[in-house]
Amino acid sequence: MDQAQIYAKLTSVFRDVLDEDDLALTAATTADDVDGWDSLSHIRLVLAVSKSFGVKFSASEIGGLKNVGEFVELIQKKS
Amino acid sequence: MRYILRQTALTFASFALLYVLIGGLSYLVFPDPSHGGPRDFQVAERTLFMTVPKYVFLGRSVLDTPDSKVLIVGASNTAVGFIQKLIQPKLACAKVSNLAMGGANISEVAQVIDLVRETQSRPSAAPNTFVIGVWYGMFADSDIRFADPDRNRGESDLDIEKYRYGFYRRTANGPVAVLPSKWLDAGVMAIRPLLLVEKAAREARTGVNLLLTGRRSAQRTEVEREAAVMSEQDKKKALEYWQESMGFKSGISETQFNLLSSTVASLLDSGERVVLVDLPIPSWHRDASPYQLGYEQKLQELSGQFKERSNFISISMGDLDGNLDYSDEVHAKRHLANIWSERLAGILSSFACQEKTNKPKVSSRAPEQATAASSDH
Amino acid sequence: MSLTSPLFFAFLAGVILAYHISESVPYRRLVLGFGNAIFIASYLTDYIQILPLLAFLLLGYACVSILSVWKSSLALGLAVLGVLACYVFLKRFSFFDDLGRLPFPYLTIGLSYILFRILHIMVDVHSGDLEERIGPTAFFRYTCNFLCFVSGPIQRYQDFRAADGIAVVKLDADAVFRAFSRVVAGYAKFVIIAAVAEYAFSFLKPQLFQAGDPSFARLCMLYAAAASLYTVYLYYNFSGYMDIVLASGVLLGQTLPENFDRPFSARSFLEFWQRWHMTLSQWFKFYLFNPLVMLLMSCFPAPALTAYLGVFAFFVTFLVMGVWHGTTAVFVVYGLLMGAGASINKLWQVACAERLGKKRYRTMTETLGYVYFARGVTISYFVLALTCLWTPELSDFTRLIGRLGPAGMSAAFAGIAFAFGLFWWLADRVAPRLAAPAFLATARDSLVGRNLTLASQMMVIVAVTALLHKSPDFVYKAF
Repeated sequence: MDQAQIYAKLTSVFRDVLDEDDLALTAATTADDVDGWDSLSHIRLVLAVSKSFGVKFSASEIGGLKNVGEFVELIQKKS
Repeated sequence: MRYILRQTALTFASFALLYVLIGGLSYLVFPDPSHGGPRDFQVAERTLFMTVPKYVFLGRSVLDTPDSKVLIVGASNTAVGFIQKLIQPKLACAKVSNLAMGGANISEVAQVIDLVRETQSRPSAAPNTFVIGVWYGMFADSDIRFADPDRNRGESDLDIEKYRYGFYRRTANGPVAVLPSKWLDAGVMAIRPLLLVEKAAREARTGVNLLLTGRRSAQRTEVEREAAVMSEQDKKKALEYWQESMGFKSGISETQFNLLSSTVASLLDSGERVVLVDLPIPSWHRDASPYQLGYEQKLQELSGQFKERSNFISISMGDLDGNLDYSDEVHAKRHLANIWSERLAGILSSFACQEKTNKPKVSSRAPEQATAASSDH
Repeated sequence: MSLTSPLFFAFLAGVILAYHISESVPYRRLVLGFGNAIFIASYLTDYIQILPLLAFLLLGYACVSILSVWKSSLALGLAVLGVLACYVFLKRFSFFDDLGRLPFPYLTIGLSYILFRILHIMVDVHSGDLEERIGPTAFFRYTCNFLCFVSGPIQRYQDFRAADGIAVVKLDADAVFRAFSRVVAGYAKFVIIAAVAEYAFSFLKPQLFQAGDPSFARLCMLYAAAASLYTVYLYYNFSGYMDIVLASGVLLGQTLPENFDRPFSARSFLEFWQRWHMTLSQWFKFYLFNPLVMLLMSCFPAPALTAYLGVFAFFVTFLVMGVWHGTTAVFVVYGLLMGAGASINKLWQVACAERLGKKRYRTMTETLGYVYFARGVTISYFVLALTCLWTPELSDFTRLIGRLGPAGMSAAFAGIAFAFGLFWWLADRVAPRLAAPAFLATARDSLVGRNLTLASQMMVIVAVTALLHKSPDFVYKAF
């Protein structure tokens, strides 16, 4: 899967979980930029991403994610 | 590495420069007083040394002179009761210093005596006359007397001064000197910048007090003390306070008493003169306190023990017990302090000023020097 | 050795000097290893006192080694249980007194932080985040880094490894000056602000327990003042300590993680903990909160439940974090208060968002009145909860609370909240206007000016240390 595909799929997961239909993601997007992306929905996002991409994340990976770019890189590395 | 060394050098150099500058400034603001013999340590507040314990500890080298000296030691009632300015003019033969410290117990008095004697290195020096002012409140053990939260339990004000600048170090057996006594003045010179900064901090605090409350400190002025009258409520509180401060329900500390006894004995053995003053307290306090009786008995025993020695006398001023002559439960008002001082001066002039100590006749009550009677008798 | 002792300075200078003699990595690792050993040894009076710590480290290392070859969840579970049991035994939690104890006094300083480091390595080794094999000396250097030994910060092994004997911070004149001036600023916080606050606190505290019948207003004021002073003391003592540690780290080429980020500007309890003792709260987030939420969400997947699962997970996390602070019953109360604070905070967010809608709630939180109100309430809650830390005996704690009663507690709460809110309001108004004139700023920032500024701070520190009768101690090492 190339980066564009991952972004597309990830955006739809984010929109779904956070219930924000006009959400757009870039590599630099952080939790502060997105309404409702808090520590709880972060875990929900991780669960949804794991399911839709078929990957698993470790504790330090989940805690260490700082922005969407890192998320995408991690998915790319794993899948 | 280069940068670290360079910065270290810069930091040290700047600090040293600043230190020397402030040290120099301290000589401008507080010129070093001459070593012209004993002085009144009660004026500490006006000096660079700020407090009596600090002044005694750091400034004690002035006592190292060959002349005859009268050294008054005790607690705060000794400090306010025996006024150096009044006593000195009446004694041509000796120089008088008052080294009494607020809150002192017998242990701290003994420490002061030890410090002074250790300072006086000259073997040719004339004997000292130690005037030891006592009352029952001084017979509490150090662990009880010195227990505020901001100090290590049992450390007297003098101990704190010993450790403060590293001149002494703390050991299981109490303070041990790091700086030899003969180097004291050099040590004091080295810490003058610190003293000045501390002094500045204190003055700033006084300034804030003055601004906030309109007065320099919570301490009452002499005029206020002169006008003070204790209410029944005040008296009750005072008695409760001493109940809490003594460590025993009644009766005084045996240890402190033995220490007084051994201190006096060792002074007498080494040829010094001792005047033991049983300081009066207002009659209401004397009659109501559970400690007074036991204290009086023990003090009499002690006086009896030394009364044959020619270099010892004991005096009591029990007649000066007027309630209105005291600003609280122990401290003499100024007019009474004048009388205390005159009496002491009278006794000293016959006792301390003779070549050989021929013991003068001193009655234990109301000696002839008591010219002015106190007001409310 | 105490961080305020001249001995520590000499030691630190020695280590820094030795470290920079050569750039060889094995040499530098040797220096750091010896430094750690000497630092720990300075706490000992008898070799036997070190044995429990050594055993704990050995157990941790054995578990890590086993997990690196046998990555099963069962092994991880057993290892975590074993290490925790050993920790609880050594730390002598009062609830487990019946377990018995070792018959000799021993070193417990640093144990809690070593525990966090070991658990973190075990979990990460098990999940494959830490692929490489950790050698015994690297393990020692990591778990017992002398800078972080007494009280953190809790660095991640991944970050430690990147700097282990390798200078990651490039030093130049400015960087070194900044490090020096941060050390001095840390001492100033530690010796001046914290010690003076403690001095004042130690005079107020006994008055709260004194017999007699003080008026209600006086009691409330006394309590509010004592609790606030303790908080000031705790913060400046701890954050001053961290400044010293982090800046010393810079001189040894290390970038240790920050532990504080202006906590008293937080507008909510949850935000407060993102700014206060950050490496601890982050650790708990990584290894307790996140896994717990994940577990709960897998069991109860309905999105509507998310917020409530969160409330529960916050409660559990903060409870554990609170209990960790001490070994007596009062710390359970502290944990409950922390848990309650976090969950009430979350419930409030949920309720407001539901009632007002996300957008309007956000607008409300931006209004001026709300900001200062929120800051005041947040700080006040924390200040009062900290009472547990200064009354470690349950009987004292209940006596104090009983004496104040609900009315007294509420009054103190409102008073502190108002005072801090007002403080921030004033500070935000006054601070921007306080800029030094340009020529003064230039003089201050010149080479001579900045070094003299540093020297005058040192002068004040020395003078204040001399003024205080007792040398200040580091408060957090007890936790």
